[in-house]
Amino acid sequence: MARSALATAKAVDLDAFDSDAAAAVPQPRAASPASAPRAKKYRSWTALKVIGSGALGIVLAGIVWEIIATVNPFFLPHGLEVWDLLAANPLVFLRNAGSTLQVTMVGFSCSFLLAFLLATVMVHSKTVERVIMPLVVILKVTPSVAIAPALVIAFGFGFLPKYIVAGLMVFFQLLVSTLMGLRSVDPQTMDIAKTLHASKLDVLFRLRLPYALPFIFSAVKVCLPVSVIGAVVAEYVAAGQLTGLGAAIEIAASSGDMARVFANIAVLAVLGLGLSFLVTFAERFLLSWHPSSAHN
Amino acid sequence: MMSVLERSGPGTAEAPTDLGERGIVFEGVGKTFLTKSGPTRALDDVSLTIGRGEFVTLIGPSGCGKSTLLKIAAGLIDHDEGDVNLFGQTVEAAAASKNIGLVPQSPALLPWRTVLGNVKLPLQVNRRAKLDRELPDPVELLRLFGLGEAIDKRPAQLSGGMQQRVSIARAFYFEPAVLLMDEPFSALDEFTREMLRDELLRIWDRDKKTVLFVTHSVTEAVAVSDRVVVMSARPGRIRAVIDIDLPRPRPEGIETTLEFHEFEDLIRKELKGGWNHGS
Repeated sequence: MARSALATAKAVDLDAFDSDAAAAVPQPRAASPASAPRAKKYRSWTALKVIGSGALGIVLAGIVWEIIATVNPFFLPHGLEVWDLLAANPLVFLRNAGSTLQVTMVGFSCSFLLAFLLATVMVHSKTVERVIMPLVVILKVTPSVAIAPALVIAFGFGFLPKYIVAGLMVFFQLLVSTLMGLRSVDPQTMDIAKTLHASKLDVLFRLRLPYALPFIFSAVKVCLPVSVIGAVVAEYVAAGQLTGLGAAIEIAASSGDMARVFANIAVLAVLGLGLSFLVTFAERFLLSWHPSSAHN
Repeated sequence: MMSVLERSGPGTAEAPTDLGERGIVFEGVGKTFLTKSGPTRALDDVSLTIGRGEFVTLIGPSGCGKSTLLKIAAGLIDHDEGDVNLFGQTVEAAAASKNIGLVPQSPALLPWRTVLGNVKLPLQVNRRAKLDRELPDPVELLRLFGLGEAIDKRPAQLSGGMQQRVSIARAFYFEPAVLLMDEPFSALDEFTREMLRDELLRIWDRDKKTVLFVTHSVTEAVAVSDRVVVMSARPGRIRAVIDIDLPRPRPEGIETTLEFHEFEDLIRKELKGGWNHGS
């Protein structure tokens, strides 16, 4: 065996078919990240800046608010007035908030469940998708708020029509996002599953669902506040039913009680904040592997 | 050095007696894709037999159908004509009994699973397939692949080369009868590519699985293969089958020997011939 190890013969590598490989210079490894303590210090400084600027914005808005309230008390109530109302009878507000929360959560959860089940079926059957999609699009372009009065007539003044409005508001977005997520499995990973003869259930639970989670979470983040809107609007419409923050705002507004209107709005804002916080918390817990969580 | 297309595997002291000894068998395989610009003949009358324990590489210009042929063997694409057999099983049956280990171009790892979790995935899906073969200890296997430190890491924490190692380890772990590798190193820089290639050979040498390997690198083809199948494009056909009679395990620095270069030149000549012929 001739072992003429000619170093120069390596040049043969520079052939048309192989040029990309031969020309490739070993890439230097990415520079090691900055030393940990400095990075940590930098991060806490950034966090401080973020919180500080946020607080500054809120304080500035509060000052502008108070100036307007002083100049024109019919336009905005004083912050203190609103606070006094809240502090004087917190149970009333809590009860109304509970009612609105109930409408939001039941409506949203049912909508989510239905959207999820439907997306799961649609991802496996083009026919079902073709039948369902046009209906869903029609539902989407029809403002759910407009359907609310009809729902109240059909289902009475109970909670049911409110649930439906709160759910209907977000159904389309939840369905489309979930469907997109379930379809977002990396094709080569799908190939691996196919060569292993993975069952549809295997693929659904071990591939599709985890891949869909980021899509589902971003949809939930957007949709939960929208469901709150649905709940409040349904409470407006279902006059005669005196529960919920929506109804409370209606009643306060009709008697010109600005402070009470804003007290209820403040409770709504806190409610929305709380829900957003819960979703973000769940997302961080479940999606720690996802690149998006690295930036949070 | 060139042989007829049909040939049984190396080490044929005893001729293949049953179908099982012939590992991967393509017989008159044809495939036509329907595209917007009309039907495209991707594969035309491709016949090839890969013996048990043989390492065979498909090489050719893009569009020669080498990946299509591999995907047909993997059951990812249906063929229009001919027969495909994996150790006497249809592709479908081979997949059902987990006899196909695929290493795709990208690592195709699940980003939420650890390295160990990814390697174990093949056992967790399709549990109906009762594996009667003895499986290696996954941790031991990962050490063998130089991934001992990375066992509990997530793919995003690893370099591209490390990720591809995990992908190869995943295919080795469940001891499939055939390994199908579709340009597994093509996304890596050359340094990493050579390192991984040597590692693959080292591990393959231990129990010599039947491998069908697709590459567009001549050097890589010579370095890894028992036989190199040169394909030509439009329609995809086998142009030549070249036996690589180099010692196994491949000694260090074999890429610089004259013999190695002779094989490279031979393959290049065939590739260019196919190119000129095609155009």
